[in-house]
Amino acid sequence: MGLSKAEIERKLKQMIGNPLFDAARMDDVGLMQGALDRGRSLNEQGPGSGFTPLHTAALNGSLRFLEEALKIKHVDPWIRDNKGMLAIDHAEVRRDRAAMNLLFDAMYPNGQVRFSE
Amino acid sequence: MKAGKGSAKPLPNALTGLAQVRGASAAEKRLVLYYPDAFKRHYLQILDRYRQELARQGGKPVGWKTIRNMVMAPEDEKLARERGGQRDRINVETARPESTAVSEENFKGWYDKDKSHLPSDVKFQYIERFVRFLRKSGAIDDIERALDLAQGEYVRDALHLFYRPNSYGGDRLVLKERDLALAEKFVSGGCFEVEAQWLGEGPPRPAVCLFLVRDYGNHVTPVDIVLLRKEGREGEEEQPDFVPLYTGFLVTDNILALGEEQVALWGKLILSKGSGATPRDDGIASLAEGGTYKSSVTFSADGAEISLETGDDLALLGPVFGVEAGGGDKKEGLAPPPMRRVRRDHRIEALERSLAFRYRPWD
Repeated sequence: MGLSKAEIERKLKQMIGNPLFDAARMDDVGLMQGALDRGRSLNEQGPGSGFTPLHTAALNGSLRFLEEALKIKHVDPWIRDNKGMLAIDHAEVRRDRAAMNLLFDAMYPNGQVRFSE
Repeated sequence: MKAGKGSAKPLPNALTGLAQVRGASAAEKRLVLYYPDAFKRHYLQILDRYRQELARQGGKPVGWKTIRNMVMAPEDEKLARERGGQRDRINVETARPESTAVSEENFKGWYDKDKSHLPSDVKFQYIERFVRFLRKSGAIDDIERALDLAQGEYVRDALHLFYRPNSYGGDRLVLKERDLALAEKFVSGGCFEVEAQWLGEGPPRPAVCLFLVRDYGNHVTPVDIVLLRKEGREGEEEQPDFVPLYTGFLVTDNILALGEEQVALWGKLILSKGSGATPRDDGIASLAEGGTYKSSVTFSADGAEISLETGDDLALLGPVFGVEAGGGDKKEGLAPPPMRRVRRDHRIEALERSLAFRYRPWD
Protein backbone atom coordinates (compact mmCIF):
# COMPACT_ATOMS: atom_id res chain seq x y z
CA MET A 1 0.00 0.00 0.00
CA GLY A 2 1.30 3.43 -0.87
CA LEU A 3 1.96 6.35 1.43
CA SER A 4 -0.72 8.94 2.04
CA LYS A 5 -0.01 12.64 1.64
CA ALA A 6 0.11 13.05 5.43
CA GLU A 7 2.62 10.20 5.76
CA ILE A 8 4.82 11.67 3.04
CA GLU A 9 4.79 15.08 4.73
CA ARG A 10 5.62 13.47 8.07
CA LYS A 11 8.57 11.61 6.55
CA LEU A 12 9.84 14.77 4.88
CA LYS A 13 9.56 16.72 8.13
CA GLN A 14 11.53 14.00 9.93
CA MET A 15 14.33 14.53 7.47
CA ILE A 16 14.70 18.20 8.26
CA GLY A 17 16.47 19.02 11.44
CA ASN A 18 19.62 16.92 11.57
CA PRO A 19 22.07 19.80 11.46
CA LEU A 20 25.10 17.84 10.25
CA PHE A 21 23.34 16.67 7.10
CA ASP A 22 21.95 20.15 6.46
CA ALA A 23 25.44 21.58 7.00
CA ALA A 24 26.89 19.03 4.57
CA ARG A 25 24.27 19.82 1.94
CA MET A 26 24.63 23.58 2.32
CA ASP A 27 28.42 23.59 2.81
CA ASP A 28 27.96 25.40 6.13
CA VAL A 29 31.00 24.93 8.36
CA GLY A 30 29.54 27.04 11.20
CA LEU A 31 26.47 24.82 11.37
CA MET A 32 28.72 21.75 11.36
CA GLN A 33 30.81 23.09 14.22
CA GLY A 34 27.73 23.88 16.28
CA ALA A 35 26.35 20.38 15.77
CA LEU A 36 29.67 18.79 16.70
CA ASP A 37 29.84 20.91 19.85
CA ARG A 38 26.43 19.53 20.80
CA GLY A 39 27.78 15.99 20.52
CA ARG A 40 26.74 14.94 17.02
CA SER A 41 29.01 12.53 15.15
CA LEU A 42 30.21 12.75 11.57
CA ASN A 43 29.97 8.96 11.37
CA GLU A 44 26.23 8.99 12.02
CA GLN A 45 24.30 7.31 9.19
CA GLY A 46 20.96 8.65 8.04
CA PRO A 47 17.87 6.46 7.77
CA GLY A 48 16.96 5.36 4.26
CA SER A 49 20.16 6.14 2.41
CA GLY A 50 22.70 5.20 5.06
CA PHE A 51 24.63 8.32 4.10
CA THR A 52 27.03 9.89 6.55
CA PRO A 53 27.44 13.69 6.39
CA LEU A 54 30.59 12.98 4.33
CA HIS A 55 28.47 11.20 1.68
CA THR A 56 26.06 14.14 1.58
CA ALA A 57 28.91 16.64 1.28
CA ALA A 58 30.57 14.59 -1.48
CA LEU A 59 27.27 14.34 -3.38
CA ASN A 60 26.80 18.12 -3.17
CA GLY A 61 30.42 19.12 -3.74
CA SER A 62 30.57 20.88 -0.36
CA LEU A 63 34.32 21.46 -0.27
CA ARG A 64 34.63 23.68 2.81
CA PHE A 65 32.60 21.16 4.81
CA LEU A 66 34.73 18.25 3.62
CA GLU A 67 37.97 20.08 4.30
CA GLU A 68 36.99 20.87 7.91
CA ALA A 69 35.22 17.56 8.59
CA LEU A 70 38.21 15.49 7.47
CA LYS A 71 40.44 17.28 9.97
CA ILE A 72 38.38 15.83 12.82
CA LYS A 73 40.02 12.80 14.34
CA HIS A 74 37.15 10.33 14.62
CA VAL A 75 35.78 10.81 11.11
CA ASP A 76 35.74 7.61 9.02
CA PRO A 77 35.79 7.99 5.20
CA TRP A 78 35.44 4.19 4.82
CA ILE A 79 31.81 3.95 5.97
CA ARG A 80 29.56 2.53 3.24
CA ASP A 81 26.02 3.76 2.64
CA ASN A 82 23.05 1.45 2.07
CA LYS A 83 24.06 0.95 -1.58
CA GLY A 84 27.58 -0.02 -0.55
CA MET A 85 29.15 3.22 -1.67
CA LEU A 86 31.84 5.26 0.01
CA ALA A 87 31.73 9.06 0.15
CA ILE A 88 34.46 9.20 -2.52
CA ASP A 89 32.23 7.21 -4.92
CA HIS A 90 29.76 10.11 -4.98
CA ALA A 91 32.54 12.61 -5.70
CA GLU A 92 33.91 10.33 -8.44
CA VAL A 93 30.59 10.03 -10.29
CA ARG A 94 30.55 13.83 -10.47
CA ARG A 95 34.28 13.91 -11.31
CA ASP A 96 34.74 16.47 -8.55
CA ARG A 97 38.54 16.43 -8.44
CA ALA A 98 38.86 18.71 -5.40
CA ALA A 99 36.53 16.54 -3.30
CA MET A 100 38.18 13.37 -4.65
CA ASN A 101 41.61 14.64 -3.56
CA LEU A 102 40.41 15.46 -0.04
CA LEU A 103 38.73 12.10 0.44
CA PHE A 104 41.56 10.12 -1.15
CA ASP A 105 44.10 11.67 1.23
CA ALA A 106 41.86 10.83 4.18
CA MET A 107 41.37 7.24 3.02
CA TYR A 108 45.05 6.58 2.42
CA PRO A 109 47.04 8.48 5.05
CA ASN A 110 50.63 8.80 3.80
CA GLY A 111 49.52 6.87 0.72
CA GLN A 112 49.16 3.61 2.67
CA VAL A 113 46.28 1.11 2.46
CA ARG A 114 44.31 0.15 5.57
CA PHE A 115 45.30 -3.50 5.97
CA SER A 116 48.75 -4.52 4.88
CA GLU A 117 49.81 -8.16 4.88
CA MET B 1 28.66 -18.81 19.19
CA LYS B 2 27.16 -19.81 22.53
CA ALA B 3 29.36 -19.76 25.63
CA GLY B 4 29.69 -23.08 27.48
CA LYS B 5 27.90 -23.53 30.79
CA GLY B 6 30.90 -22.97 32.98
CA SER B 7 32.67 -20.41 30.84
CA ALA B 8 33.11 -16.89 32.14
CA LYS B 9 31.54 -14.17 30.04
CA PRO B 10 33.87 -11.29 29.14
CA LEU B 11 32.95 -8.08 30.89
CA PRO B 12 31.76 -5.28 28.62
CA ASN B 13 34.30 -2.50 28.18
CA ALA B 14 31.89 -0.04 29.73
CA LEU B 15 32.12 -1.96 33.03
CA THR B 16 35.84 -2.55 33.08
CA GLY B 17 36.59 0.92 31.80
CA LEU B 18 39.45 -0.53 29.79
CA ALA B 19 39.75 -0.22 26.06
CA GLN B 20 40.95 -3.41 24.40
CA VAL B 21 43.72 -2.40 22.03
CA ARG B 22 44.81 -5.03 19.54
CA GLY B 23 45.24 -5.43 15.82
CA ALA B 24 42.40 -6.65 13.63
CA SER B 25 42.28 -10.44 13.29
CA ALA B 26 42.12 -12.07 9.85
CA ALA B 27 38.41 -12.79 10.41
CA GLU B 28 37.76 -9.15 11.32
CA LYS B 29 39.68 -8.00 8.26
CA ARG B 30 37.46 -10.15 6.07
CA LEU B 31 34.40 -8.62 7.71
CA VAL B 32 35.58 -5.08 7.21
CA LEU B 33 37.47 -5.52 3.99
CA TYR B 34 35.13 -6.89 1.35
CA TYR B 35 35.05 -6.27 -2.37
CA PRO B 36 32.35 -7.84 -4.56
CA ASP B 37 33.68 -9.86 -7.51
CA ALA B 38 31.96 -7.57 -10.05
CA PHE B 39 33.77 -4.60 -8.52
CA LYS B 40 37.12 -6.38 -8.77
CA ARG B 41 36.50 -7.41 -12.40
CA HIS B 42 35.55 -3.84 -13.33
CA TYR B 43 38.68 -2.39 -11.77
CA LEU B 44 40.88 -5.05 -13.41
CA GLN B 45 39.28 -4.19 -16.75
CA ILE B 46 40.04 -0.49 -16.24
CA LEU B 47 43.63 -1.30 -15.31
CA ASP B 48 44.06 -3.47 -18.40
CA ARG B 49 42.70 -0.71 -20.63
CA TYR B 50 45.02 1.76 -18.94
CA ARG B 51 47.97 -0.54 -19.70
CA GLN B 52 46.89 -0.72 -23.35
CA GLU B 53 46.56 3.07 -23.46
CA LEU B 54 50.08 3.49 -22.04
CA ALA B 55 51.37 1.10 -24.70
CA ARG B 56 49.56 3.02 -27.43
CA GLN B 57 50.95 6.34 -26.22
CA GLY B 58 54.47 5.01 -25.76
CA GLY B 59 54.48 3.04 -28.99
CA LYS B 60 55.78 -0.09 -27.26
CA PRO B 61 54.27 -2.88 -25.15
CA VAL B 62 53.81 -2.27 -21.43
CA GLY B 63 54.25 -5.35 -19.28
CA TRP B 64 52.70 -6.31 -15.94
CA LYS B 65 56.00 -5.57 -14.22
CA THR B 66 55.61 -1.88 -15.10
CA ILE B 67 52.01 -1.86 -13.88
CA ARG B 68 52.95 -3.73 -10.70
CA ASN B 69 55.64 -1.14 -9.96
CA MET B 70 53.17 1.70 -10.46
CA VAL B 71 50.53 0.09 -8.25
CA MET B 72 52.99 -0.75 -5.48
CA ALA B 73 55.16 2.39 -5.66
CA PRO B 74 54.18 3.67 -2.16
CA GLU B 75 55.01 0.30 -0.54
CA ASP B 76 58.29 -0.06 -2.47
CA GLU B 77 59.32 3.46 -1.53
CA LYS B 78 58.45 2.85 2.11
CA LEU B 79 60.55 -0.30 2.07
CA ALA B 80 63.43 1.57 0.46
CA ARG B 81 63.23 4.25 3.17
CA GLU B 82 63.20 1.64 5.93
CA ARG B 83 66.17 -0.17 4.43
CA GLY B 84 67.95 3.11 3.87
CA GLY B 85 68.62 3.20 7.61
CA GLN B 86 70.19 -0.26 7.52
CA ARG B 87 72.69 0.22 4.72
CA ASP B 88 75.41 -1.56 6.63
CA ARG B 89 73.27 -4.69 6.82
CA ILE B 90 72.09 -4.97 3.22
CA ASN B 91 73.72 -5.30 -0.12
CA VAL B 92 73.38 -1.85 -1.68
CA GLU B 93 74.23 -3.25 -5.09
CA THR B 94 70.96 -5.13 -5.36
CA ALA B 95 67.96 -3.71 -7.24
CA ARG B 96 65.50 -1.45 -5.43
CA PRO B 97 63.52 -3.29 -2.77
CA GLU B 98 60.08 -4.57 -3.72
CA SER B 99 57.19 -5.19 -1.39
CA THR B 100 56.11 -8.82 -1.41
CA ALA B 101 52.43 -7.89 -0.90
CA VAL B 102 51.72 -7.95 -4.65
CA SER B 103 54.05 -9.40 -7.28
CA GLU B 104 54.31 -9.37 -11.06
CA GLU B 105 53.31 -13.05 -10.98
CA ASN B 106 50.08 -12.11 -9.22
CA PHE B 107 49.19 -9.81 -12.11
CA LYS B 108 50.05 -12.46 -14.70
CA GLY B 109 47.75 -14.89 -12.87
CA TRP B 110 44.83 -12.47 -12.60
CA TYR B 111 45.02 -11.63 -16.28
CA ASP B 112 45.67 -15.17 -17.51
CA LYS B 113 42.87 -16.08 -19.92
CA ASP B 114 42.97 -19.69 -18.75
CA LYS B 115 42.49 -18.78 -15.11
CA SER B 116 39.47 -17.27 -13.43
CA HIS B 117 40.68 -16.37 -9.96
CA LEU B 118 40.50 -12.80 -8.71
CA PRO B 119 42.77 -10.90 -6.33
CA SER B 120 42.15 -11.51 -2.63
CA ASP B 121 40.51 -8.62 -0.79
CA VAL B 122 43.79 -7.68 0.90
CA LYS B 123 45.72 -7.60 -2.38
CA PHE B 124 42.89 -5.84 -4.16
CA GLN B 125 43.24 -2.84 -1.83
CA TYR B 126 46.35 -1.79 -3.75
CA ILE B 127 44.57 -1.96 -7.10
CA GLU B 128 41.62 0.00 -5.73
CA ARG B 129 43.97 2.69 -4.43
CA PHE B 130 45.80 2.94 -7.77
CA VAL B 131 42.61 3.14 -9.86
CA ARG B 132 41.18 5.82 -7.55
CA PHE B 133 44.48 7.70 -7.85
CA LEU B 134 44.31 7.54 -11.66
CA ARG B 135 40.68 8.62 -11.56
CA LYS B 136 41.33 11.73 -9.49
CA SER B 137 44.16 12.72 -11.81
CA GLY B 138 41.86 12.38 -14.85
CA ALA B 139 44.08 9.74 -16.48
CA ILE B 140 41.26 7.23 -16.99
CA ASP B 141 38.36 9.56 -17.81
CA ASP B 142 38.22 8.53 -21.46
CA ILE B 143 38.45 4.85 -20.57
CA GLU B 144 35.64 5.03 -17.99
CA ARG B 145 33.47 7.28 -20.14
CA ALA B 146 33.68 4.74 -22.98
CA LEU B 147 32.81 1.86 -20.62
CA ASP B 148 29.87 3.69 -19.03
CA LEU B 149 28.46 4.89 -22.35
CA ALA B 150 28.73 1.34 -23.71
CA GLN B 151 26.78 0.11 -20.68
CA GLY B 152 24.10 2.76 -21.34
CA GLU B 153 23.78 1.63 -24.96
CA TYR B 154 23.55 -1.98 -23.81
CA VAL B 155 20.64 -1.08 -21.52
CA ARG B 156 18.97 0.90 -24.32
CA ASP B 157 19.19 -2.11 -26.66
CA ALA B 158 17.83 -4.36 -23.92
CA LEU B 159 14.88 -2.02 -23.33
CA HIS B 160 14.19 -1.89 -27.06
CA LEU B 161 14.13 -5.68 -27.25
CA PHE B 162 12.05 -5.98 -24.09
CA TYR B 163 9.34 -3.41 -24.91
CA ARG B 164 9.58 -3.86 -28.70
CA PRO B 165 7.91 -0.61 -29.80
CA ASN B 166 6.85 -1.33 -33.35
CA SER B 167 6.44 1.06 -36.24
CA TYR B 168 3.65 -1.07 -37.69
CA GLY B 169 0.25 -2.14 -36.39
CA GLY B 170 -0.63 -5.01 -38.73
CA ASP B 171 -0.08 -3.56 -42.21
CA ARG B 172 -0.72 -0.02 -40.95
CA LEU B 173 2.23 2.32 -40.36
CA VAL B 174 1.83 3.58 -36.79
CA LEU B 175 5.02 5.60 -36.43
CA LYS B 176 5.15 7.81 -39.47
CA GLU B 177 8.34 9.29 -40.84
CA ARG B 178 7.11 12.82 -40.27
CA ASP B 179 6.47 12.03 -36.59
CA LEU B 180 9.94 10.55 -36.27
CA ALA B 181 11.49 13.60 -37.93
CA LEU B 182 9.74 15.91 -35.46
CA ALA B 183 10.81 13.69 -32.55
CA GLU B 184 14.38 13.96 -33.78
CA LYS B 185 14.00 17.75 -34.07
CA PHE B 186 12.33 18.53 -30.72
CA VAL B 187 13.39 15.62 -28.49
CA SER B 188 17.02 14.73 -29.26
CA GLY B 189 19.46 16.79 -27.24
CA GLY B 190 16.71 18.68 -25.42
CA CYS B 191 17.43 20.39 -22.12
CA PHE B 192 14.54 21.63 -19.97
CA GLU B 193 14.27 23.52 -16.70
CA VAL B 194 12.05 21.77 -14.13
CA GLU B 195 10.19 23.54 -11.31
CA ALA B 196 11.09 21.03 -8.59
CA GLN B 197 9.70 21.18 -5.04
CA TRP B 198 12.53 21.68 -2.59
CA LEU B 199 12.91 20.32 0.90
CA GLY B 200 12.63 23.01 3.56
CA GLU B 201 13.29 26.55 2.40
CA GLY B 202 14.72 25.90 -1.03
CA PRO B 203 17.81 24.70 -2.84
CA PRO B 204 20.98 24.72 -0.77
CA ARG B 205 22.62 27.20 -3.12
CA PRO B 206 21.00 28.99 -6.09
CA ALA B 207 20.20 26.11 -8.38
CA VAL B 208 17.85 24.86 -11.06
CA CYS B 209 16.61 21.39 -11.79
CA LEU B 210 17.23 20.17 -15.36
CA PHE B 211 15.59 17.44 -17.42
CA LEU B 212 18.17 16.39 -20.01
CA VAL B 213 17.20 14.29 -22.99
CA ARG B 214 19.78 12.48 -25.12
CA ASP B 215 19.43 11.21 -28.66
CA TYR B 216 16.17 9.57 -29.74
CA GLY B 217 17.12 6.13 -31.05
CA ASN B 218 15.26 2.80 -31.33
CA HIS B 219 12.33 4.62 -29.66
CA VAL B 220 14.31 4.65 -26.41
CA THR B 221 15.74 7.96 -25.23
CA PRO B 222 18.17 8.24 -22.30
CA VAL B 223 17.19 10.96 -19.82
CA ASP B 224 18.83 12.52 -16.78
CA ILE B 225 17.42 14.76 -14.09
CA VAL B 226 20.03 16.85 -12.29
CA LEU B 227 20.32 19.75 -9.94
CA LEU B 228 22.60 22.38 -11.48
CA ARG B 229 23.95 25.25 -9.43
CA LYS B 230 23.71 28.52 -11.33
CA GLU B 231 27.26 29.54 -10.53
CA GLY B 232 30.18 27.14 -10.43
CA ARG B 233 32.38 26.96 -7.35
CA GLU B 234 34.92 29.70 -6.75
CA GLY B 235 37.81 29.26 -9.15
CA GLU B 236 35.88 26.59 -11.08
CA GLU B 237 33.20 28.81 -12.68
CA GLU B 238 33.47 27.03 -16.01
CA GLN B 239 32.89 23.60 -14.48
CA PRO B 240 29.27 22.50 -14.01
CA ASP B 241 28.47 22.21 -10.30
CA PHE B 242 25.73 19.60 -10.20
CA VAL B 243 24.08 16.81 -8.24
CA PRO B 244 22.77 13.79 -10.17
CA LEU B 245 19.16 13.08 -9.15
CA TYR B 246 17.62 10.53 -11.48
CA THR B 247 18.77 8.73 -14.58
CA GLY B 248 16.79 6.55 -16.94
CA PHE B 249 14.97 6.19 -20.23
CA LEU B 250 11.89 7.45 -21.99
CA VAL B 251 10.50 4.40 -23.80
CA THR B 252 8.11 5.43 -26.56
CA ASP B 253 5.03 3.37 -27.42
CA ASN B 254 3.62 5.90 -29.83
CA ILE B 255 4.41 9.27 -31.37
CA LEU B 256 2.02 11.82 -32.74
CA ALA B 257 2.97 15.06 -34.50
CA LEU B 258 0.65 17.88 -33.43
CA GLY B 259 0.94 20.15 -36.45
CA GLU B 260 4.47 21.19 -37.36
CA GLU B 261 5.43 22.70 -34.02
CA GLN B 262 4.78 19.95 -31.45
CA VAL B 263 5.29 16.26 -31.05
CA ALA B 264 3.81 14.06 -28.32
CA LEU B 265 5.46 10.89 -27.05
CA TRP B 266 3.42 8.29 -25.15
CA GLY B 267 5.11 5.56 -23.23
CA LYS B 268 6.99 4.89 -20.05
CA LEU B 269 9.40 6.98 -18.07
CA ILE B 270 11.85 4.62 -16.36
CA LEU B 271 13.87 6.35 -13.66
CA SER B 272 16.39 5.21 -11.12
CA LYS B 273 18.17 7.09 -8.35
CA GLY B 274 21.70 5.74 -8.59
CA SER B 275 22.99 7.75 -5.66
CA GLY B 276 20.38 6.38 -3.25
CA ALA B 277 20.14 9.85 -1.70
CA THR B 278 17.17 10.98 0.40
CA PRO B 279 15.65 14.50 0.23
CA ARG B 280 17.88 15.52 3.11
CA ASP B 281 20.91 14.62 1.02
CA ASP B 282 20.07 16.27 -2.29
CA GLY B 283 17.43 18.84 -1.27
CA ILE B 284 14.58 17.73 -3.59
CA ALA B 285 11.37 16.83 -1.72
CA SER B 286 10.93 13.55 -3.56
CA LEU B 287 10.90 10.25 -1.71
CA ALA B 288 10.87 8.16 -4.90
CA GLU B 289 13.73 5.75 -5.41
CA GLY B 290 12.69 5.37 -9.03
CA GLY B 291 10.37 3.13 -10.99
CA THR B 292 8.45 2.82 -14.24
CA TYR B 293 5.83 5.52 -14.77
CA LYS B 294 3.24 5.70 -17.52
CA SER B 295 3.65 9.13 -19.04
CA SER B 296 3.22 11.32 -22.07
CA VAL B 297 5.48 14.22 -22.94
CA THR B 298 4.73 16.93 -25.48
CA PHE B 299 7.84 18.57 -26.88
CA SER B 300 7.99 21.88 -28.74
CA ALA B 301 10.57 24.50 -29.62
CA ASP B 302 9.82 26.37 -26.37
CA GLY B 303 9.67 23.55 -23.89
CA ALA B 304 8.03 20.33 -22.83
CA GLU B 305 4.96 19.34 -20.87
CA ILE B 306 4.88 16.07 -19.03
CA SER B 307 1.72 14.31 -17.94
CA LEU B 308 2.02 11.57 -15.37
CA GLU B 309 -0.48 8.90 -14.43
CA THR B 310 -1.51 8.87 -10.81
CA GLY B 311 -0.28 6.17 -8.47
CA ASP B 312 1.39 5.53 -5.18
CA ASP B 313 4.88 5.79 -6.61
CA LEU B 314 4.01 9.01 -8.32
CA ALA B 315 2.91 10.55 -5.06
CA LEU B 316 6.56 10.24 -4.14
CA LEU B 317 8.04 11.32 -7.50
CA GLY B 318 5.75 14.31 -8.11
CA PRO B 319 7.97 16.93 -6.39
CA VAL B 320 10.66 16.40 -9.05
CA PHE B 321 8.25 17.87 -11.60
CA GLY B 322 6.86 20.59 -9.35
CA VAL B 323 3.90 18.72 -7.90
CA GLU B 324 3.41 19.13 -4.17
CA ALA B 325 4.51 16.08 -2.15
CA GLY B 326 1.63 13.61 -1.96
CA GLY B 327 -0.07 15.06 -5.05
CA GLY B 328 -0.50 11.53 -6.33
CA ASP B 329 -3.49 11.17 -4.00
CA LYS B 330 -5.51 12.85 -6.75
CA LYS B 331 -7.48 10.49 -8.95
CA GLU B 332 -6.92 12.32 -12.23
CA GLY B 333 -3.62 12.41 -14.12
CA LEU B 334 -1.07 14.96 -13.03
CA ALA B 335 -0.02 17.83 -15.24
CA PRO B 336 3.01 19.44 -13.64
CA PRO B 337 4.02 22.97 -14.66
CA PRO B 338 5.48 23.23 -18.19
CA MET B 339 9.23 22.78 -18.50
CA ARG B 340 11.10 25.59 -20.24
CA ARG B 341 13.64 24.72 -22.93
CA VAL B 342 17.15 25.85 -22.01
CA ARG B 343 19.71 26.82 -24.61
CA ARG B 344 22.59 24.37 -24.75
CA ASP B 345 25.78 26.22 -23.91
CA HIS B 346 29.27 24.99 -23.05
CA ARG B 347 28.27 24.37 -19.40
CA ILE B 348 25.37 22.13 -20.41
CA GLU B 349 27.64 20.27 -22.82
CA ALA B 350 30.28 19.85 -20.09
CA LEU B 351 27.51 18.64 -17.77
CA GLU B 352 26.42 16.04 -20.32
CA ARG B 353 30.01 14.79 -20.65
CA SER B 354 30.22 14.44 -16.86
CA LEU B 355 26.92 12.55 -16.78
CA ALA B 356 28.52 9.76 -18.79
CA PHE B 357 30.00 8.49 -15.51
CA ARG B 358 27.54 6.22 -13.76
CA TYR B 359 26.82 4.68 -10.41
CA ARG B 360 27.32 0.94 -10.77
CA PRO B 361 25.59 -1.59 -8.54
CA TRP B 362 27.95 -4.37 -7.41
CA ASP B 363 25.67 -6.88 -5.72
